[in-house]
Amino acid sequence: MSAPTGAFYRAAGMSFLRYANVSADLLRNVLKEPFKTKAQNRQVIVYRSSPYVDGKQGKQTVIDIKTGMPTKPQAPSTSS
Amino acid sequence: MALRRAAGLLASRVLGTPSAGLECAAPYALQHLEGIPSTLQTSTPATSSTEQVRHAGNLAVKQRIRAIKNIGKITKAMKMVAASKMKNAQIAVESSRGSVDPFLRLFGDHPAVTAPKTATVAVTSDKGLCGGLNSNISKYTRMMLQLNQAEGETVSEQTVASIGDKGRSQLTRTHGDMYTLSVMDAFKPINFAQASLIAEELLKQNPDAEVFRILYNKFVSAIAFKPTVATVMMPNVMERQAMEPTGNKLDTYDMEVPAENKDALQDLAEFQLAMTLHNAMLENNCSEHASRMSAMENSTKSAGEMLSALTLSYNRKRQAAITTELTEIIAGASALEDS
Repeated sequence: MSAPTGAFYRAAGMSFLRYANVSADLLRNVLKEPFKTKAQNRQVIVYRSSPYVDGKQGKQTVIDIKTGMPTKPQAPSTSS
Repeated sequence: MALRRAAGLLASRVLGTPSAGLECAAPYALQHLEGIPSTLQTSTPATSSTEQVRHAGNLAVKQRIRAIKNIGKITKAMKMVAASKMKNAQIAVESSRGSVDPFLRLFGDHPAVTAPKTATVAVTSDKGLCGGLNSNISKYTRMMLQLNQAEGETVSEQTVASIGDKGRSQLTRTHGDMYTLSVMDAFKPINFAQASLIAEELLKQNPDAEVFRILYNKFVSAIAFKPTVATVMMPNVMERQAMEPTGNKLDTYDMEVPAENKDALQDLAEFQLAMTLHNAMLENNCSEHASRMSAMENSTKSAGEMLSALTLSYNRKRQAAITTELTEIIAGASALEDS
């Protein structure tokens, strides 16, 4: 293949949002202790979502993550 | 002494013989009419029937008074909780506004932009008892969908998504076929990581959407919240918009590699979507608490008014019953005395 066009994260299949959030998580991880725990609170993601197809509710995904943005998009199943 | 005896005799004569079921009320009746000589104690069950007759109609009112008092206490507590939550939320809202303003300065606000495929996102609350907030947003969402339809965009290209349980229940009923995504339990906590993940899901469920319209309640003050629509454009529409006279200022920036312009626009669009969603959720959250505070305040006030009216009528009834009894006894006693 020729040199990847565009940004490297795009070539890896990540959107800009995922890239920015993963970088932020890495930065929060290297902070020193009192600031680290305060920053870790900003990494918690909690919500429930369900896609709708043709007016019917699809399978519900429960997102309850304490360690920040996942690096790969989730498969539609309950994630830890 | 003779008067009392006469009163007791009159009572037993007026009310007749006691029924079996009233005997359990005898101790209560005995307390009420003290000093009755023992010979007249057979009349006490009869007097207990007066007690029952006197209080029967008032019992329902008494229960109602108790219930309303409890409800008033609950709504007052809810109001205080909502007030404290609103104070915390207000700080977060004001600091998030600073991250959305640069986008508006760079791209401008173009709510009238049209594209063949649009997605409308309604931000509502999960819990109820918050006033007319959510029905307002549903109303505006429906109006927006109709507006888009009237502008020549065909319905099959329009999609709807909602954040919050209340919006889902109201919108799936009327626009269920346009629905693509519903997000719930997303308000605790609200941070950018969560907004990014939701934005990604939105983009995944609406892959062709070129304009995202996000409807939410903007927090103006503790008593004012305005339904607002924020428009986020995807790169194609952004470029088209740049050609217009009201175009954006992006061209004043030099790109190192001109070919990367498209990528930069894509990144910016995604970032703007996540940022706008984050701000919209925070503002709606704060507006929800403010609205709940005022709704609970109104509830408490109505409960107080109802309570005072009911208490007045209860006391009036009670006093009227006692007065009637007194006059009966006195009339009877005076009649006996005269004879």
